[in-house]
Amino acid sequence: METVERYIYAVTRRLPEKARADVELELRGLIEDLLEERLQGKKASKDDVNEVLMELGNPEDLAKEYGGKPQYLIGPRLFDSYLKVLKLVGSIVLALVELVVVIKAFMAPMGIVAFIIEFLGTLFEAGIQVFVWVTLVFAGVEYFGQDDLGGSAKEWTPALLPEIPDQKRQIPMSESLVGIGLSILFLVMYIMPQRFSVIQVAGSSTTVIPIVNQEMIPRFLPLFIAFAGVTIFKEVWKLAKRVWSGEVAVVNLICNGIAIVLAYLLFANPEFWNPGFIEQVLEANVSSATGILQTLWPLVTTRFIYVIVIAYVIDALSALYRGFSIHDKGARRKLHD
Amino acid sequence: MTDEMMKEILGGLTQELRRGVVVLAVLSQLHEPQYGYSLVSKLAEMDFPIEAGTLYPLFRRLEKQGLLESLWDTNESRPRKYYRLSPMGKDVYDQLCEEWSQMVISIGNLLKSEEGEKDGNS
Repeated sequence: METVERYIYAVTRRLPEKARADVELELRGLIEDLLEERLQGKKASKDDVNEVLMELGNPEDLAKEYGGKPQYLIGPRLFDSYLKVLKLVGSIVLALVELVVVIKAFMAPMGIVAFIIEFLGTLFEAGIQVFVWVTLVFAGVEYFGQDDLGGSAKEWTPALLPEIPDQKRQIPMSESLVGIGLSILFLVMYIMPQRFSVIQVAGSSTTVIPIVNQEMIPRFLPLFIAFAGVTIFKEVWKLAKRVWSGEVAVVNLICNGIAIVLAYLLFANPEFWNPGFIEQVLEANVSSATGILQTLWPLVTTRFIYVIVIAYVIDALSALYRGFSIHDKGARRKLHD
Repeated sequence: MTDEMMKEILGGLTQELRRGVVVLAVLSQLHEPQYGYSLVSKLAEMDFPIEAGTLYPLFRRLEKQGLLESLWDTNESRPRKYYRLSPMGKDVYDQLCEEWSQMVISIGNLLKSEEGEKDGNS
């Protein structure tokens, strides 16, 4: 009877938790009934059991009949975009971190074995980071996105028909993918500060001077995730909508507003940046770059927020312009005449 | 087109037709409580065989929709889940019967008129 148990398990494991016990009892009863009818009191042989189970069919199909949901993290609808983003972000991040490793190796020649270990270790670490974050983002879209990306749950009317894409109004896919990629890149950079630092090599010793305040990472991380998240959400929204419209422009505006507030809380806070950066640079005695770094550092840390704000404001304005563009309306009016 | 292909297509279409009325057939037998296997046998006897693998999940679906109510009978040698029409299920069944009669008449008329035309032409 072990086969029967295995069969029941194969069906119920695909079902929602609540339904399992019930279906299990019911199925066992059914199989016993079927066996009994077939045998009329004789003892069931292995062949009898097999035949009855064959009659019931593939447990996977039976579970489907029972309405077991296909259980996946990222469904077929999103999988293509998922792969695309994973490849894009993966190649950018991995190329960047490995570039750092190679530069480091040039500046401080190390043994080939040490280099390979460093190279592979970095590859592994950054690869996992990218994989985890991209997957998390897409799993979130899958879980919370419901039907927004495909058919919508609203009742369909012809008004919902998407416009035939006009070259000018179309949101280039690359724009969104780059946006998502950059957000995840920033996130990974923030989580792995030792990979993205000013690196000083003096003889055989290497000094790593992180740009951000490593002690504060746990405190800032939720904000940082929210900052990257709101940008990613915005880009995914644009990917789904495909065409600039007033609605997309407004959502874009709101997301950028939130992103600016979060960016202000992060980058305008002096605690975000490595407070000992200058001292560490001086200490490490970076021969040629010290002067530049000393002038650049206060500029970067205090002005970075402005760069972010300006970038987001420009993005919001250009979205508003494209979303509510008079030019396009004029063109459409001409069509109507 | 080979005979085999035709048979296959016909088989598929017949199955689809049947699938549409399976619910009606099942509901019709549930004024009295039945457990899954008893209904499988009963429907087979009445020349409307339905697989257990289809019926059991269908029971659950109909119960979830509120058309059926269920009761576990644990007195017998093996526990059995009995289903029968809920009050709402009865209403739905009655109305579904109406729909079915209407459909039989309409389709009947369609088929007849087609036959008439054929006769007329030949």
